[in-house]
Amino acid sequence: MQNTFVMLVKRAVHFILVLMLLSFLIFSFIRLIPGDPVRLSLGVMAPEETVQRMRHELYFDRPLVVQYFHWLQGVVTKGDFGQSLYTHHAVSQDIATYLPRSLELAFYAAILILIFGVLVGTVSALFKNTWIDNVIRFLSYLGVVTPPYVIALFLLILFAYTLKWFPIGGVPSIPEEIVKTGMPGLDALLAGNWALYGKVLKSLVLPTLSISLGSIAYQARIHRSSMIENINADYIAFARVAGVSSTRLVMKHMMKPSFIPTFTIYGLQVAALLGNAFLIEVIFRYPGFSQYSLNVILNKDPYSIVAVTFVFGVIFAVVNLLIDLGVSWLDPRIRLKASE
Amino acid sequence: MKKLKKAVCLLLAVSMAVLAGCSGGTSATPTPTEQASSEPTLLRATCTATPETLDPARGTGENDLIIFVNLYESLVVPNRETGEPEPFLATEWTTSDDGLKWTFKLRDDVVFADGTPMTADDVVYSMERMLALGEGYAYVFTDILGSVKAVDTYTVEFDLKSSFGPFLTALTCLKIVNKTLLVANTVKDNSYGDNGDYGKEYLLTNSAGSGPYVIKKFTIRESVDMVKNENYWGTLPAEAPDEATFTQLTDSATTKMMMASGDIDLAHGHQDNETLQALLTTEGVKSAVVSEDGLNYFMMNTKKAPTDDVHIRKAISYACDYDALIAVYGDVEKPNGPVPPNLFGADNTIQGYSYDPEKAKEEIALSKYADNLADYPVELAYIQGNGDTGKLTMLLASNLEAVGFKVTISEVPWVLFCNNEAAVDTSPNVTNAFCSANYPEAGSLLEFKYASWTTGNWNQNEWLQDATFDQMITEALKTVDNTERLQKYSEIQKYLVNDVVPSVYAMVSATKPSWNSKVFTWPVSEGKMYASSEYNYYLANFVMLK
Repeated sequence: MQNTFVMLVKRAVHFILVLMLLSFLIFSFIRLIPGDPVRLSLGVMAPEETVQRMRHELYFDRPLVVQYFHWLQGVVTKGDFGQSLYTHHAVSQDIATYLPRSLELAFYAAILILIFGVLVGTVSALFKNTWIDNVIRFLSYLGVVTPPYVIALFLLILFAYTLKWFPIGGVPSIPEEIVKTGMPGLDALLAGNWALYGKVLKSLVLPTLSISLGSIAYQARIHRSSMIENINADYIAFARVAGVSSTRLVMKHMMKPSFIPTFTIYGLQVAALLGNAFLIEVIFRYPGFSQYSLNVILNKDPYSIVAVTFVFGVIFAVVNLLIDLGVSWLDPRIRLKASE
Repeated sequence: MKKLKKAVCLLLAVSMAVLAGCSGGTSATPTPTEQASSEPTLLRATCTATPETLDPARGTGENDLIIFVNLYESLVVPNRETGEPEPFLATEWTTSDDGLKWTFKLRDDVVFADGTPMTADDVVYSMERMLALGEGYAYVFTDILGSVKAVDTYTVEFDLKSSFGPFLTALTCLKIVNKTLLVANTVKDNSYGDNGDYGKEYLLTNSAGSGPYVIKKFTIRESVDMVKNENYWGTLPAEAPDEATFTQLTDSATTKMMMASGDIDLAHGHQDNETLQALLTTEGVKSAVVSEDGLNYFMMNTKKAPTDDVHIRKAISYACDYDALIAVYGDVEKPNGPVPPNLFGADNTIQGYSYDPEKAKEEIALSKYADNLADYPVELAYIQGNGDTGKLTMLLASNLEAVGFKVTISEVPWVLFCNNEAAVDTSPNVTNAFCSANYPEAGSLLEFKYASWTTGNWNQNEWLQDATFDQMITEALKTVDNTERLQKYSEIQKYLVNDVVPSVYAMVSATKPSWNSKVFTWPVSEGKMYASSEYNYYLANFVMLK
């Protein structure tokens, strides 16, 4: 327990240093890109005075180090990430608007990926080299190579446009008074409005499937090969001879060690869902964090770019930490190594 | 082991069934056609992006103006046919002999959406606010306006620093905001002294105008929902939509599906040709070419070899296959001069250049580069990801090669493009872009595109810096009398086309909105169009059919 705590503290310190370095690097890179972000935001005809005033307000006329520490102070003391030149809102407010929506989408996708990735992978491994395995391998190969936006368009045409089972994109409007978390579904649930939750869920089915099918396929392939490796292990043969029931054999002796590579890949895939959903968000008119991130980068909106990178950094770091904790729980040998 | 396999299979099958069940058969939400006729009429439109703020003193983009024109009003509006400004919130005006003092009488029956009457104070506040913010259209007035004051409740007086002929047209850019409402919603910070934040924060999501519509809900980058202003002082026909929503939608596949399934009624005019054709296959869907107050220009750097020679510039103008360029965009108009034909002050009698490769070769022979043209390759550049401007540039490149030019083409990222245009040496020989007037009058476009004091930005790759032109445009802009000013604009246009040839005028910029004619009738379909395209989206003119 104490070892885990030490590891956590070490990780947290590393993590903070990495984030600081990352944000400083991004600040420097933004200064290196040609073009004045303020001029870009205000337009070519804006009077020079206005441009200068805004540059001053945003600390662009100060040396890089001064600007950076002013920004850092705002982040640490007030959670203020600066002002967006692209949306004219506080960046922290933008993050609060767009991130929860993407998190909710990623949450449902993560559940689907875990359940179906493992399930399909297990079935494929247990029926190794039979027609079931071949069909699954073919489909999962198809899933891995098909870009998510193609899947999105296919699902949209089939289920929304032709069969009319789901709406063609968009999310039901959530009344302002019940918005608490910014996640449309969760807000509806917290307000006890089941009908609205149902509507939100319905609008999320196709985007969730679109971003998760590829990952499910990938996850299934990883889990299958990992299972097969363990099926052939000596200790399984030994356990079988010793008369361990087949359910226990699969669920405990085969599944648990097979989970280690699966789980590692799974974590990274879930973290990447947030950043890779750009086209899905456009196609389904779901204004989430991925769309926001790309737009601020294209518009050279300095404080938003830093904040977006920061958020992705935090998400990846947290997910990595959770993976490490999960893996060390699954395999005591790794736990021992980490504590050394 | 077999039992377990069976169990896993069963679990898989059940999960599939549950997932399929989630879809729950046909939708329970009524489609618009199922709704009772007593329900309010709703127009569902798309836009390429929502405005970033609902502050009329800050936005100048097409998407901003389409929304603003419904929420806010101005002292004068352009006439649909001629583009000449005519009375709106102001009933009449007088100008002093020296053109420095403009006095406006306001209507006495105008109320803002919250019921507050509009007075001269609101006009003064709106102008002072715009200048203090320094954003949006402020630059049109910053250098010319001395002061503005309320003479009495319904009289307002503008004192100009120097005579400015197009002042009346420029006033279409000043939208009047509700002073009382904004003062009450001012955030006290130090941005603008006693005026706090001048209501900037409030206007991020609220409107404060006297227009026929008010904001119901605005979510940036998602949608703008507007509803009829119940307190509207003017006439707002019952057939106009009770509600209108503009949703940000750029994906063409989704647009096509939503139009076909009746989920949208009006698709924005920036669809590619293939998407537009697909949209038109839905029964009842029509499209129109809505011209805007700008052109597509091939801007030729007049200070860099070989385009510094007027014969080379004339040669390029003749070498250009205009029909092929226009075919890229479809039915848009070919302009003859530097001003789009429907803009106030355009001279439509000018004979411009037409495709004539032989004449192009003759012009090359007259130029100082006739003997060593190959030593001076023409660099063509366009902005990365800027619609079809890349295609236009490639077409021109092949035209130029056909008459003997050597060319290079580069696709430049936007930020770098702007950077290159800041200096004459880094500006390429020819760039392609759409440029439009700041206020709806020829003088605006001419000054913006060619005056010496507007160089250094991507709208003027020409670097004209021509003393005669500067003199002519200054004189024209000083002239208050409309007929006289238009005459001067006409001379400038002739001078540019015949003597200086700074640009190739490729086509009138236009959008091609498409709409479901079974849902509403749009005056645009009868060819009734404004030069300032945003006025075409004045919702009060829409007639809802269901």
